[in-house]
Amino acid sequence: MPIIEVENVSFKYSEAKEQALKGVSLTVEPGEFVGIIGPTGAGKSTLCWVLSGVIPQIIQGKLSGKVLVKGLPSNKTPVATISQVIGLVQQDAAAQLLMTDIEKEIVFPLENLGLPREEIDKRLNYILDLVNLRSERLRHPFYLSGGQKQRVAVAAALAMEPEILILDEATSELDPIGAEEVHDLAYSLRKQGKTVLMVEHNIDELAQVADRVIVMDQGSILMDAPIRKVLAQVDKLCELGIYPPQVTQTAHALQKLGVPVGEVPITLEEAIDLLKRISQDA
Amino acid sequence: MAFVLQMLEMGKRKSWFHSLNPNAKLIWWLFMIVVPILVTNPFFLLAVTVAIWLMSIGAGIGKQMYKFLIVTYPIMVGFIVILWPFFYAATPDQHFLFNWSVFHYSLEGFIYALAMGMRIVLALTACTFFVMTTDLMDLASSLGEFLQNKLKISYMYPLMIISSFKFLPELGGDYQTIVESFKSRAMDLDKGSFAQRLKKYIPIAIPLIDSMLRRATQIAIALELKAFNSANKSRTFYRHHPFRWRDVVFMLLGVLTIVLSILIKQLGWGAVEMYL
Amino acid sequence: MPEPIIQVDHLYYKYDTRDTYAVEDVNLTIEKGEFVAIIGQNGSGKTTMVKHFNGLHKPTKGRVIVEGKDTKDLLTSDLARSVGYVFQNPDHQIFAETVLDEVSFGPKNLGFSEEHIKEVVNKVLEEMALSGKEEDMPFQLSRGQRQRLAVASVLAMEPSILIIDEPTTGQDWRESIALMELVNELNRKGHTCIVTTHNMNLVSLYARRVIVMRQAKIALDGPTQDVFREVDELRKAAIKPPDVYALTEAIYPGIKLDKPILPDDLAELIIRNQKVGR
Repeated sequence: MPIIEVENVSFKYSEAKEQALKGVSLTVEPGEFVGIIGPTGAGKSTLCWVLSGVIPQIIQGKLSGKVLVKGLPSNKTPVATISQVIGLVQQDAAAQLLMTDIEKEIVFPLENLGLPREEIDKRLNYILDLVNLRSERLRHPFYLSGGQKQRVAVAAALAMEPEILILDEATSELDPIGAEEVHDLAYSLRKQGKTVLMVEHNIDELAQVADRVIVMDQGSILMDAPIRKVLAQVDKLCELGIYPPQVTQTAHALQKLGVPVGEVPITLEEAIDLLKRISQDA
Repeated sequence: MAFVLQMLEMGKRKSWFHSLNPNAKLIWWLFMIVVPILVTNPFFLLAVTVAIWLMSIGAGIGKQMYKFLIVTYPIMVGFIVILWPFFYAATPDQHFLFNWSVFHYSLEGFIYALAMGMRIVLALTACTFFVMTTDLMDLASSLGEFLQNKLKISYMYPLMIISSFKFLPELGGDYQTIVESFKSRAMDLDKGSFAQRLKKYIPIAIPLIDSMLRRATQIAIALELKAFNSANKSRTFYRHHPFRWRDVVFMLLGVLTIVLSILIKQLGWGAVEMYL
Repeated sequence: MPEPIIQVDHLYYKYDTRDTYAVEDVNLTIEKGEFVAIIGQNGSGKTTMVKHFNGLHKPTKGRVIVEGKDTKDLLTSDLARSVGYVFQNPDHQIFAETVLDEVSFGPKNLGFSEEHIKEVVNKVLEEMALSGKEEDMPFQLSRGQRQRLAVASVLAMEPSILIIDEPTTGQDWRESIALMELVNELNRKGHTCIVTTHNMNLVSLYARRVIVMRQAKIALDGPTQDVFREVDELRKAAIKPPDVYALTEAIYPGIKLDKPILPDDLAELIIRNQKVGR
């Protein structure tokens, strides 16, 4: 049974003239790693907010269509309940952290849920090791690096033990090291069976691990296909203002110059194999 | 803003005093504030102040308290000692340094001023000791726990205080960046008259307020996502502060000081006038 | 004839609150008209170093000379005429009610005449593709437009040096390219452009010289294509060069590049070598 079901969802923000989402439909099965890419204004963050119930319960607007998260309707189920199914981590790490140290940050949602102290303690210790921040347990987030802050944000979201984690451009304000930390964390969660949705600008990252990529533009889904198929559409991606991986671009350029390439490489290793073959085929 | 962070860090040290229940320390502090109201005898006040200093050495914060108070004592107390004697009613039996109708300065006036200063010194010392031995965030949450679970008052207020301490350093950083961006556009904050310089801070306030407003919306959403509900009648508080014998002992110290104050007041030794 | 417009001599800088140098024994010369990218991990010292160029930081030791003047005795507001610094987040500087007010702020502070201000504002709005938006409210513009507005308000002071800190944060590829194209155009017109960034693809597309900072020191400094070949040094600095360089090295080990290489270039190279029968 799909863990996320979105059926013909449209949404317009209260003060906006145009719809932010236009008839979007998709399903996600448990355990999938889905990438979401698209230019600014495509509706990616709006979609994340719809899935987590923030739209329409906190952010007002006109929402139509059906959204079911593990069978729960996202427009009527209390946001706090949805947070126990979907964890949302957003771009600005600093604005998602509210407490003066990491421990407080992680236990805060659990305190709010009224969980017994032993349960909180158990989850806290598990998560501190999962995100590798035990040594910083009592640090004020001001002292943490960008990557560490985002790991805390992920930790706080995971505290509620959601089955789905949504990373909405969680690494776009981080340096490459910070981004790598967060991505590694996402991959390890996937290995543990969590469903991950990752909104990214950097399609190279998705090439490493996403099973499937959804390409959005101006409120609609243009493509929803396995990663290879999406990355092969180099021209279409460029048109949308998405920079395809350079390895794919190179193969595509060769193809355009008349060289048969076969399946388009998406990783460096594949590309090196391909190009070595081609340059020796002379 | 580094000061704010330092203050928070101080409270996380380890000592017998740091381990006390924050509520117990709060009550002790309240007693210490009342003492200088009851008593103006500078020697008594001095004795209590010295006792707090000794405790601060025991708590391992002696050096830090010294660094802070060596600057604050003169600022807070200095002008009292200098100015008060001018307002002290002049009577013929006093020993005057000079006495030219409105401008008079007598020995008695000076002693009185010292006593008044001593009251502030004690209050200041007690406050500094309290802040430096208490994890303020623990205090906020333990007070919050008391308010929420015993008095059914929403945890919202202590939460706002805790969050302020989280965001203040960041706001400070934003402020720094904003000032730098204005300097980079040739606006010099150090030139011009006071009024002119004040005017220059108006454009700076706008991006700062804007960043605060943006944060406010994000915080509101984050609170909802984290299941915070101000209408909740009860919530769990993870950090548990048991009330132990040492907390009772410490509060009794405060009680003892109050009792002594009342005692000497009854015995007529409570006021500085006895030395004049 | 190229002249140094920025000269850094044995620069050391230490923040009051730390014990270690944030910038340690940095020496470099930037000539008029260069397009330099400064890259490095967060904390490597790149922003700290760059803030010396407009006087926001004064050297703890060493000298920074901008357009022949030692920055030690100059205020940032004095240097604003020569060095424009655009901050990472445009929302940290935007304050005015209209785009016009925002852009005229700098020139007004510098004492430009009314006509000069009008002239320069029109010019920069056009250069930043914001013409016609003079009466718009800055906060209603898109993020990309606000970023360009921030650049415009700095450009309006007519500095010969433009420093842009992480111009692509929070923007998608298209917006980033749009901005870099505009900066490139300014560089063609003679502005010296210094950009700090984490986006190596953009660096490869636009910068002709790359300076890599690592742990308060300069680790690499040279033409883009040469720097991106130094795989070991880059790894130590936690920088990953664009994949096309690793590809090129794998197929043509040790090949000499005289300019940055792009995927299309590599494809053409392979085709050409095929035809030659290599």
